[in-house]
Amino acid sequence: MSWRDAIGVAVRSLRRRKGRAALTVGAVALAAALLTALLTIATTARDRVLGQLARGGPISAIAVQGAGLDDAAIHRILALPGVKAAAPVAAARVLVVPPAPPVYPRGSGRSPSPAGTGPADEPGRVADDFVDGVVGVDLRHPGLVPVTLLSGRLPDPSSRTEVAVTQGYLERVGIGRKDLVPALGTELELGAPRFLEGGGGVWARWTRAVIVGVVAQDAGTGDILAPLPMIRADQAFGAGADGASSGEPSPTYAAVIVEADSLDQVPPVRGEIERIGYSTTASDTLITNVERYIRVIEIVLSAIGIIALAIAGLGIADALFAAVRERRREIGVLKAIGARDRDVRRLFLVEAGLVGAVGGAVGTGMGWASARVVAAAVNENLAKQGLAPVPVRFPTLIVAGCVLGSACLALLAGVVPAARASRLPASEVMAEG
Amino acid sequence: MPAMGYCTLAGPSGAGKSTLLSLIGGLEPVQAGNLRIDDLDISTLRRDDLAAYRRSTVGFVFQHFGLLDTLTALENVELAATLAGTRRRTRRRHALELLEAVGLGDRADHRPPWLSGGERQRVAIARSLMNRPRLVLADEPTGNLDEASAIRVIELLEDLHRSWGFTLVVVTHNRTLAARGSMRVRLDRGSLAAA
Repeated sequence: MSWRDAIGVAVRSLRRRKGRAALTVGAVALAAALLTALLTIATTARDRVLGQLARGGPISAIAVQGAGLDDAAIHRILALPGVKAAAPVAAARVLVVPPAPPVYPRGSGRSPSPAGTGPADEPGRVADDFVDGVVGVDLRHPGLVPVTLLSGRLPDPSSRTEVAVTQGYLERVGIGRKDLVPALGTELELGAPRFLEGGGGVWARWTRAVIVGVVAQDAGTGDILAPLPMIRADQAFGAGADGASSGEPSPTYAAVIVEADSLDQVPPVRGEIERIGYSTTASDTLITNVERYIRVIEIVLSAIGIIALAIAGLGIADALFAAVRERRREIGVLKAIGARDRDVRRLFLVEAGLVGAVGGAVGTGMGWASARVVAAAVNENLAKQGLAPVPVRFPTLIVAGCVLGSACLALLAGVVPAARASRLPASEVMAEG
Repeated sequence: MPAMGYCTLAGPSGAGKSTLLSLIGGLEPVQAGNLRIDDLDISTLRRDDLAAYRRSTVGFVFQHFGLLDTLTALENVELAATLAGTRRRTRRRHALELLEAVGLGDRADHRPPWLSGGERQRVAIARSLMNRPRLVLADEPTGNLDEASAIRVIELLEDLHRSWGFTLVVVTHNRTLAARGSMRVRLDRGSLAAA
């Protein structure tokens, strides 16, 4: 009997026993759905989270610090082998005046009240003005600096009136770390100081800035992230210049973020930079650790799915054993009219394979749909927090693997029942009943 | 038992009629002695060789019809040739001819549950002839049929036996049917009791 004929007979047999076939296919489908959904979620986590972490350099980035970090130093670093890019980070201490009266639309836990009447940790009170660090980065290349946008957007790279704040700022003004949206669109005033010589007092250059985003950042110390031009102007003012004059000396930076060509290049690049006199820090082991944790999660999720598939496989085996018991005479008839052992074995294996393939295909579709539903719920939640959505790609490899894996598992489950069926004697056809 | 003969096997229940039929048909291995069909000693055949023997030399007709409920009448008849590896178009044409020959050309697309007992047995007879066997073994072919159907079925078998020229062995309890054979064998407790 050819494979084609065996498939034809097996299909008819399954259609004839719709109830049992549907239950068995359902069991495989549920298991395949679980496996697909778990693997899709795990793969998305790995590809997107790890990919986003690694893309743009924060993970393969090296923070360079030391005296005399100016534009010339950046050029020297850029000339080193294995260096892909370098971005300066400027830092300044400013007086921060939170908005008054505060207008935080929802969920902030604060009610409008006059500014400067009490500390932020008392409900209904407004934080006092405070001194904080402003970190200035070159936002033309946002992927290069270790800044993650949590809500809203990054300031315009050339703007002198837009800033982003960290969750530390939110906590400081009494909004709370998790309530990111209320701060967006509010204004704050930043006072950059110039200390007059001879104890003559302090002047301040005041900038009214709009908070356009909430970020997490490791570029420098401070709760306010500003475009580089804004902080340069503040620095120039502090140094006694007006910030707009030409011919001013090259500014020095608090740090330079250097991106290596690849993660492997991080140690040698660090060595080269230290050789020219700067200290470096890097989190090159972080990605390995993150990768390892995600891999563990992936293995655990896969194991759950595979256990489900194994249980479904046992279900298939059980259904086939029952079929062999019920169809002894039918097997006898097949043998009486000339079927060889291998023809009978083939028939049962094809039945098992069909159940596995159909169940796998249906289940994989269900799993993909489930993953999409989960992703939609997650993205809705992220959107509420002002965070970027996580797109779920169609996992071609997982889909193919699940369908093929289900069919293979079903075939495996069918081996023993099929062997038992093939060994039944032809004389079963003469049995009573 | 002569080639192209018509033999009836009769005897009480437990006499060994069906066992003898199983041995002749290669359904059971021969445990002792020899069994020769033409020049072939089937007691020496292995499982696959026995399957080939059943496929090419023997046609079976059972009391319980032995049809697969999942297949149509046409597909049931075809199945014997499917196992023999005959091309689809050839076997379909031949199966239709056989169904016409047993008077069921118009019932080809019906599955066994939708056929009467007599019709099912005629489908089984058509299937038994699909691979042009030299030997047709019928085990109580009328056992599940009413008298009128039984007569039609046995007459059909006898007609086909005469026109196709195969050796026909019929196991039966029915004395009237047993008397129709040109060679009549009676078994009792596994032994030849009368001929």
